[in-house]
Amino acid sequence: MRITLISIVFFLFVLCTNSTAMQASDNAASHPLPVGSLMPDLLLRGELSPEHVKHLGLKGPAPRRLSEIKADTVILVAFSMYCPHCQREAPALNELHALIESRGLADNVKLIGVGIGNSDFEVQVFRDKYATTFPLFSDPDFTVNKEIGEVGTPFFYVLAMNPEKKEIRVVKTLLGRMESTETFFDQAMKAGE
Amino acid sequence: MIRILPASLFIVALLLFLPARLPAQEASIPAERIYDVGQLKPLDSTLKVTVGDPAPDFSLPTISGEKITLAQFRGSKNVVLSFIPAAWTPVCSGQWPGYNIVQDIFEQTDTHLIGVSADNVPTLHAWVQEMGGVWFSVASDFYPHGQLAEALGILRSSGETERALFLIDKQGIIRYIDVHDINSRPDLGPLVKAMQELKE
Repeated sequence: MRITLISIVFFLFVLCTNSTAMQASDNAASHPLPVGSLMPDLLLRGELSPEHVKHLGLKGPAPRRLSEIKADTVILVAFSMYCPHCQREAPALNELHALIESRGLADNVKLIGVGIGNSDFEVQVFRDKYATTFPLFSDPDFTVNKEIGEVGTPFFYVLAMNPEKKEIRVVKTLLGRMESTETFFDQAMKAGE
Repeated sequence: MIRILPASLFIVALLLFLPARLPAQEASIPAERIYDVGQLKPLDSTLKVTVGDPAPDFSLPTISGEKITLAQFRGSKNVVLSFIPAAWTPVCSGQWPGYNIVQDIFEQTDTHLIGVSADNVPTLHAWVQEMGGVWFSVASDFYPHGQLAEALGILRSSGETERALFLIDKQGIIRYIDVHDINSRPDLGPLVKAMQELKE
């Protein structure tokens, strides 16, 4: 009986080890902004639908700054059309967006993606391929990525927005895919409290 | 012993069964397996062809074991040659996985994609396997070394090729060329635009 139990524990260990391995296209030069630090007021480029302009509370389609997004919390996902982990994460990102809405937090929490090194065309390929439901921006020359610490992809920044102090603060980060959309979201909300 | 055997068989069965249940997926190559080449001279060759020229024919071995020629597509498919400088290097390992999600665009424009490098077939096979496979042809311009790259004028002095894209129409005429800075990935947009224009 004991051996059976040990065997099962061993099996579960192997399984967990595999499932928790970081799933990201990492970057050796990566130096993410630490939790607690200030996020630069990023210039966000790319094509947005009128619905997404309205959803984010922006005055117009372009140009726009991160600080112009009307929200208490912004979840910024750095992704790339070329990153297989991001390709696999795409449905989970739509789930995360749906979860925010289902919790009645669509006005307070905004999910956005930035296509690192991706042109508008490449972002559109990703948008079309995965029927992405939330706003995606482009970053063809890696300008945004330099400002956010040349992160691997996917990379999640949970940002607390404080327009009165003109501050955007990093409250949580994650390199790689979410293990669970709900767990990640709950942790993100807790971190922002 | 009687107790150990069923438990062991149970574990082995599960370990064998589970991977088979996982869907086939593209994978990122682990960073430690990528050779960092650093910043290279952006271009190190002189192009020998121009848009409007007939493309040189070729017969190259592929990782699927067959030879691929330009002539086999004459009259039926446009061809894109995507040259990458070397397997197991950073930008190259990020370029082809992106092409994996645009198979539909290539099919809609009657275009066959061939990935090419001057690596040998076993190296290309191992590298492509590591990235989880690709849907398009992968050909080796290894021997005579870089013969096709040399004919096009994109063989670097180091023996690698430039990072380059050539679109060749069904008549074998070159219709688009992008010999790119070797250190960065070419934008997919202009290539697709050229493919769509050829379709019209």
